[in-house]
Amino acid sequence: MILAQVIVELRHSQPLKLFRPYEELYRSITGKELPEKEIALPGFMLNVAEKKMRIVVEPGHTSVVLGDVPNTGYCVDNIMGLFRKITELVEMPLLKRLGIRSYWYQESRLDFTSLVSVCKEIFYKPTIFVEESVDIGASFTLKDGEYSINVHFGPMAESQLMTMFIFKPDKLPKVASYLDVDYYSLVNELNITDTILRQFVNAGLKSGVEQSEKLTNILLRKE
Amino acid sequence: MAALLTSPIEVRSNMLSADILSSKYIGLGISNWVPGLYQWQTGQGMLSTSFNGQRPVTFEIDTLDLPIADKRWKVSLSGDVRVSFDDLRDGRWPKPAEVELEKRREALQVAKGIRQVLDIRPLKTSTMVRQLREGKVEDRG
Repeated sequence: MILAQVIVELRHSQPLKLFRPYEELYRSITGKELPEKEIALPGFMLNVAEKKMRIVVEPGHTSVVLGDVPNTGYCVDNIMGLFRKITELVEMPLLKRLGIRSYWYQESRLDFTSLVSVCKEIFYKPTIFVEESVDIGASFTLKDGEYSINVHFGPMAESQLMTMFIFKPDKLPKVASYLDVDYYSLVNELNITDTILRQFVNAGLKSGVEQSEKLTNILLRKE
Repeated sequence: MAALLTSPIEVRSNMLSADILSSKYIGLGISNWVPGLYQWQTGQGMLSTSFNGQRPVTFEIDTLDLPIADKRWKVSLSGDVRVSFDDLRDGRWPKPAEVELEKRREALQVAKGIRQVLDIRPLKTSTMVRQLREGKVEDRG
């Protein structure tokens, strides 16, 4: 399958200090906590056109979106490079969740209706709902040690496939099998380091590759 | 492919053998498939990896120079062999030319000779600790 998009999100357990200057100022002057929580300042989003990349730094999370992905190594390099740049300037708070989500598709030789039929045959027992349905999808939650993996897949026509990507690819197939692999971990106040992030990103992308290979193998037997 | 919008109804099902995707369960919101609006909610609440949040201030730029690995490491090989950083990362190393192999053999011979003449032995941690503690170089005789 073709890897088309990757999102990495670090969810903060406390809002970034960068967005809470009033709280910090109040505390430094009075030595006390603010009686009421101030509304945090708005976050920051940077779209990089040439690289088809989006960087979002908000009080609650820091995210990177990579479109037009040539290979998994490119993702690791860019994600590490970006987070290194961000953490040079902003003190990253303890984290409560790490997530990496990869989006894949594979062109189908079948037309959309036939691909829907194949998916019904593989993944569902024949019931009245299944037989009458004109579109179908499937979602699974898997485990990989301490990590959870939400896997969603199904047939898509070009028009729907286009809506899945932040940066629209130049060319997409008329009909494709689509796969979304969300690899994540809920953590208890994790202090993120370069090594932890690199290992996590590698593990998440590896899991995406594994799920895409499984799905391809299952579908190829029937297509 | 259809997509989920609101809270899914969790259905425990044995429709698929567990070894296909090692699935713990299948969660399907049968009534909520809406093509084009794809959002998934697990039994643990809205936890999907996402970049969406509040209303950030948005900036658009053309490009960005990042300190990524293929910038930090320059690929330069003799014989003008065109090898990209991706080739090296994927383990596609070019085979060394016969001239290079000969040079390596010569270098190894020289290194062996030097080692014999100078009686160089690996400096072990225990040796280093002893030298630091006693403030003298260990007698190797």
